[in-house]
Amino acid sequence: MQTIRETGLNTPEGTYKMPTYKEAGMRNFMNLVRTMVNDYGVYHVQFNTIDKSTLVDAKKHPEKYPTLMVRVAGYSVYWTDIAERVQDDIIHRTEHQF
Amino acid sequence: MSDAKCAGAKLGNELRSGYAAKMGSTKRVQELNGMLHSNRPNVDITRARAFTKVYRETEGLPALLRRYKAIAEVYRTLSDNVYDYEQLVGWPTKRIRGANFAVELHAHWMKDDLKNLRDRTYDPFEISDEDYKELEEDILPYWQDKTAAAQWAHYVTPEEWDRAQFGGVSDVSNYICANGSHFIPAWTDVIKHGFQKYYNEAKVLLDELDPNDPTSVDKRYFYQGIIEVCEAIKNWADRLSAACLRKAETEKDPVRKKELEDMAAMMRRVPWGPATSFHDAVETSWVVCFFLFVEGAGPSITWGRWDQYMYPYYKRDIEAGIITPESAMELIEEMYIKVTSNVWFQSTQMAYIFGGYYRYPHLDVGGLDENGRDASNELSYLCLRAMRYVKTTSPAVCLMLHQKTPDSLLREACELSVDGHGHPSFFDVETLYKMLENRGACANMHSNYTSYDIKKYGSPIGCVEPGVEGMQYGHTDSGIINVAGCIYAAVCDGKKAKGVDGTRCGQVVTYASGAPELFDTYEKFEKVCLDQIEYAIKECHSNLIIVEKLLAEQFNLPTFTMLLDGALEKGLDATNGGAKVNIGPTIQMSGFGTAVDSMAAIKKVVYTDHEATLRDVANAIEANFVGYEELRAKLIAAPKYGNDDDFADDIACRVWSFFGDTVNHLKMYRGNYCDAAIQMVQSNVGYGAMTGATPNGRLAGQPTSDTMSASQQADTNGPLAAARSYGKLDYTKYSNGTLLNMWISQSEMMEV
Repeated sequence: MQTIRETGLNTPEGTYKMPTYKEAGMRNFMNLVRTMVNDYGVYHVQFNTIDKSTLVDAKKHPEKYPTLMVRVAGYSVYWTDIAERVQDDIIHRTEHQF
Repeated sequence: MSDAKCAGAKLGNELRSGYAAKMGSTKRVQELNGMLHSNRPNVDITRARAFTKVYRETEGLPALLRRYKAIAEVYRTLSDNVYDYEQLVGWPTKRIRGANFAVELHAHWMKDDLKNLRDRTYDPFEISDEDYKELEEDILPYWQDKTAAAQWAHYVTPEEWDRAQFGGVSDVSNYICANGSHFIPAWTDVIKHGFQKYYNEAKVLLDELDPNDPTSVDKRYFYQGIIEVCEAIKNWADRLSAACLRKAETEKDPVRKKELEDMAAMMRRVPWGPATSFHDAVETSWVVCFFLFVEGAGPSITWGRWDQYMYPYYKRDIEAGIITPESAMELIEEMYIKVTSNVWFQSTQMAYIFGGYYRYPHLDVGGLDENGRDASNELSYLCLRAMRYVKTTSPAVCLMLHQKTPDSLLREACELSVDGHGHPSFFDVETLYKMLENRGACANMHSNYTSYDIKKYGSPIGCVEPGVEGMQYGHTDSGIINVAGCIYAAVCDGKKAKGVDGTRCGQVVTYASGAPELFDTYEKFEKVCLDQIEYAIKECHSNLIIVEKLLAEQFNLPTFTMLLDGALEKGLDATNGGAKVNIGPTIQMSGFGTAVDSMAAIKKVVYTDHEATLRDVANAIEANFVGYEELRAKLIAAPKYGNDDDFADDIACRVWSFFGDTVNHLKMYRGNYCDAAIQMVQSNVGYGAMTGATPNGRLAGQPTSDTMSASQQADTNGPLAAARSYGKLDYTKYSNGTLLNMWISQSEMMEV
């Protein structure tokens, strides 16, 4: 008797693919969070991490990015669903590098 | 691409309706995610119809009882749909992604806006022709003069009413349509006992009432109402159980048939009675969440410390071999999909800023236990991992981070963050505890929370607002003060700029505080800035207490009330002080970085370097810097908040503390003191559009700085310098939470 869970996936591309991490960057990132939150006592922080060039392209060609999500502030939404001036504001924020 | 018919959310909904968003760890989850996205957001009039029917039938009954009867009618008429692949039962609406909206709070704007709903670019909603007609001809005319906003108009002048919604400096427009929001119900209790506990309690308390006690008069119909609502919830669960059985009868797959029969049995146990398994407990946590989303109009029904109160059920079932981590994660993913179906319903004007249908559900992992030990467990990891697999917008998954939190959990959270969906938020547990100690009490007063309450049940709500499970009620994103607009007013004698969005352009929007020549020292200038902020805060407060009175008298919330510890015993509704700790409505700051940078620029250019007068700056911002390019360049070159530079950060600290202290000393309708916050998500775009050019060099109509973050492109010295600036601020003065956005390039942390 076959269970639903054993049924083959018909959208294999919907399965998560583990990215390849840059370990030095991941260490920097974790240290930034620890330092800011636990040492400096900053109550809350959240991150956008999609590179700016991607967002700029997504503004021009939203049809290429159906599931691109961004953190607006306190919540995540699909890029396509937010007003252009909100998109512009997010693109205009400061993108930091380590 | 720029076909107006298919842009914005319409395009997004279209793109995701096929395979694009069918994500998840198993076939079942992928199908459910696909089902979510194949539905377009739609208007459901079940709640509106039930309310209209009951209110018409109950003229002359006590206001609270009418309200409770209407909610009971909603439960009695909620849909009983059961779909393929589901393991969790029940939906808030007839169609997936419906908005079962609160007509009694929205009718006043809907009468003009209904015609835009289907085709607007942001947050379009489908609605059937019959429902449209019923709304337009029958339901909206009944309610449009009865909403909280419409009634509030009787207490203020037309000018005050207009200014508080469209003036763009001291604003309550977000709050008046969102009663019943920002809440962590008593999860541990309701999962353990079910609604039958509240039903039995109400029956006993009703029996024990002494008819010669004057307080029994109101309590009698309070308990009668609670009993009726509980019975309606039981009725709903029974209907859903029957629906599962009906579906089982026609199901050919024997495995699925058995699942449906088990689901039918589950609906006879929960949410009415105690959860007996992890699956039961997840079902209660889903059902209660959407009940509150239907009863209340607002955002942010919060799961709080889900990994904590669910863990005993998880552990028992894992040990008994009933579930595996994978099958538990499948349930979590389904819960995320279902909560994403709760779309937020707002006016076209609001959707332009807050678009994306998001309704701010929230789930926390990690943190400490009541003894101060690290509390993380397997579920903490599963909740974070499920978000990577299912990739829904909701809920906001958050890590409560402490020095004791293991690096492995932080790593799991950071990997989720690097994926780029914006999840999770990171919270400092120690700062959360300090905020909660101030919560609901004025500065220097004792907290009503014990240390045990805070450690065991404390967590953020919605975006960031500190809360305690089952003990706290109040609206948390209520009044908004655009402090960038206050600085404009301080420089320009109380005026709002000409030619920007909103009303009262070119007129006094706060109060006339004097010509720029009056402020011959920086200290005098800073004082007028703070005076303008104080004026805006007090105007906002005067509106909030009026609306809060209306809500307490007429807009009661029985399900919220049952899920507050001790409210039944007190015999008081949540809106009327039933909670152990009453909070809100709170007052928020918007445009902080813009205000601070503007004051710092004036201090540098006008009072330190004497390169211009304050009159020059006033002329320059009134002209949107046209003809003042050289002055603008000097103002832009001045020190900015977010670079660990005390020239600007000192001003930041003073504005920050002044705002917090001023707000914390205002008394609210339910007797608590007001809490300050700085978290008003994307309001900087809307308020920016209503704000003239500012002395930091920002042009008229451009977004102001978001939340508590540094101004856009002003933090140029790297993330750690920004973090040091943020670390200088006193978070305990903002017991309603602070929100910080940062952006780190994905390509720093992974191969893109």
